[in-house]
Amino acid sequence: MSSMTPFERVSVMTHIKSMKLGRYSWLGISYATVLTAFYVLMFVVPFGTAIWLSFHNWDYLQTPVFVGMRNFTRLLSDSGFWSAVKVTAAFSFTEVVIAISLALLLAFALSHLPAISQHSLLFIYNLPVVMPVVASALLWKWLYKPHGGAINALLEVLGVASQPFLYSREQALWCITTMVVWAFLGNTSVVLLAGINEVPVSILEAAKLDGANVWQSFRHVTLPMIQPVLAYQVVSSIIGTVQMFAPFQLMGGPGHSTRTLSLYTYELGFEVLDLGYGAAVSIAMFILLLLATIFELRRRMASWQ
Amino acid sequence: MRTKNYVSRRDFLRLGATAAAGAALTACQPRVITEQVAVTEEVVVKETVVVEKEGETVIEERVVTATPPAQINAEITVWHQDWDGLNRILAWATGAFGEKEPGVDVSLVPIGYGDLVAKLLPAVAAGNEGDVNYLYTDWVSATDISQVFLDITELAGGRSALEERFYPAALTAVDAPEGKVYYYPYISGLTDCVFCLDTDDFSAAGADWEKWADLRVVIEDCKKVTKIDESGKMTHASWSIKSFGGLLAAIMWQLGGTPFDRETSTFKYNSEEGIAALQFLHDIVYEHRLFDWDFVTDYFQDIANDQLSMVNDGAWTYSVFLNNYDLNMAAIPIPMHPDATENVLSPSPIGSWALSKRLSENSAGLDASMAFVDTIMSVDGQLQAMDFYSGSLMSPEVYADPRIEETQYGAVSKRCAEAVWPIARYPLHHVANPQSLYTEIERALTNEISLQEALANVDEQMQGLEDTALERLNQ
Repeated sequence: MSSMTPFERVSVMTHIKSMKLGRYSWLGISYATVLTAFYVLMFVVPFGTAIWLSFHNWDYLQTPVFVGMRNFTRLLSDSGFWSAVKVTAAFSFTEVVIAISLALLLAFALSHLPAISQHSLLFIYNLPVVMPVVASALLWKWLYKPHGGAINALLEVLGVASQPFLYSREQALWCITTMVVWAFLGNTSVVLLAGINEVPVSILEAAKLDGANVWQSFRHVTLPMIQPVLAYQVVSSIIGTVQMFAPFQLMGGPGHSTRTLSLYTYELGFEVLDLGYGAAVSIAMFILLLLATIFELRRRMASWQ
Repeated sequence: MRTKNYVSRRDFLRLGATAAAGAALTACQPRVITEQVAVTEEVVVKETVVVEKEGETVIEERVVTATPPAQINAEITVWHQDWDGLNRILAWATGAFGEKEPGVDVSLVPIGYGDLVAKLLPAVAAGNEGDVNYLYTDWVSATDISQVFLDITELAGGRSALEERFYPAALTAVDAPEGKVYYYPYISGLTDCVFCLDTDDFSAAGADWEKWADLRVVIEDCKKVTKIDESGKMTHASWSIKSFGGLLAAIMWQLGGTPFDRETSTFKYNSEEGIAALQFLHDIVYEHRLFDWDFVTDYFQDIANDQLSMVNDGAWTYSVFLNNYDLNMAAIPIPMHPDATENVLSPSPIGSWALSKRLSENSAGLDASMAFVDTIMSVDGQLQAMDFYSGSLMSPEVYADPRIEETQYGAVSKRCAEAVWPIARYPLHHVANPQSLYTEIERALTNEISLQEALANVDEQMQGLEDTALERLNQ
């Protein structure tokens, strides 16, 4: 170092200050480390604990008893679990199909309006999204009241017999599904509208010149071109609906008619005090969700590639 | 000289990191325990004494020191259900306690029912629950209560003293080792033990509910109240059996059976008595046609709308009806099954107070917590509830106090409590949430499955939960 000229010394110091590890900077690595530590603490550790717990019998206080695969084999014969799977699948499938179809139609209609109208209408459609889910659930619970509820009052005006809604085993799940579709329609529309607006105008104009009408250009141009956005929306909706908890907890119907996997996990963990089995149910839910996601992504990818 | 008068991105990050590290360190610092040692200062007093001096009796005044009763100095935290009624009682209790024990700082922590269920046991496991905690007894039935709360048996003067102070059955809601007691029983809605009925409906039908000797008479009177139109559609239901878990167990006991055999830890719903009990409930719906699942929805609203006349959901509903609707109601203990060989009723879980096990190492906190619970459980404290709550209290002493008659719901509560508690029984299984019982029995009562299949399912599912709990408890 002593033989270095002042210029060379400054140059070396500058190099040390901005020392790189390969092509990565220390600053970047330190940021990544903090985020990784956060992720490990907030996801990997709880997830690992859930996996560990799923092989035990535990109630918070006693020493956990190792039970091997028993919690998983119990799933196979547990009517409560399969009933929850059915409710979850019915809700998720219906919600995703209805919500995305409606949102797609809405987004397509909005895409034909001037930007200012699009923004104004999206603002209105997004109001339920801004509203806390708890508030929405309680509002709809009031609307669904069998006596004095707004919907039955409307039905009465129309000459239709009043309905039990959330008090009926047959109707409760669909009442909650309706509320969830309403609550998240605006958000889905925004995402799909962004996708539709990204479709190059030149392609749409070319289709128009070839004689395609509005429906045909939507069916054969817009829809194929927004497949990646649609795939994202379908997958995130499936995940969101399977994990949904608050509306079912707050608006739940009689018996097990609206008991989803999330609710069942909660019940097992916090009410039955069977945390090991609750963890096994949550792991099973994770695997089912992962399979559904992979299946949907592969199906969509095959169509857009 | 150039002064740096802007915040660069680097400065911002540095400041942010410093603040975050500071916050993290602050959050991680050990909890400061502010327990204070009870101060017992000696007080100088003069006393007059009679002494004999040289054969003469003289009165002398001399200076002595005396130790006054120790004042407790501590901070206690009370976790309780965020329920308007309980908030009112605790507001009163905190004021009354503050006057008695000015050295104790009481922090009330109201928590919604759902959150309290979910948080209490994890908090106990982590050691950060309240010093005094409100709970319902079924929350701890699947675990070993001796590991959850402090044993209060000796602190409260022994089991027999507790059995004098409270209805003995109220101390048996949870399976506890060696007859120990870990909670102060406080209130119970008496679900499935008390009918709440619209007296106008029964009077109009010529039915005298005061003379109900057994459930057969109840059914006959309910038939007079039920209305079914020409097309066979129900237009007025008389008895909603939407709440049936406790009633089913009670009828089984009355008929000589048992829903749960404690000796063998076996569920026995699928038994001769179980089938008879369930058949009795089934007949209410289909043979006697007193109730229709599609017709009765929200029973409070149904009674208010004159579509229903009676529910068996407990004494607590009486005050809810009267506080919210302009109705003439009565609360009547449920009579026995006509073939009953034993008088038994099965009440709902009990709202209770329990102390943290931490207090065993904090004498000032323990004294303060015990004194606070004593304030809530005092006759004055319990009478507070009777102006808005018609469920049962657990202390015969409160019902013996003449002031009970001056409260709004005291007389009703007293009649129900005195009829139910002497014959009350808890199954003492270790299933914290018997949801499968309700689901399977409802399936039978809606004719989805046969009665026997439902009872067999109940046994199988409840047994699974019981065995899992016992595996933990008996390890």
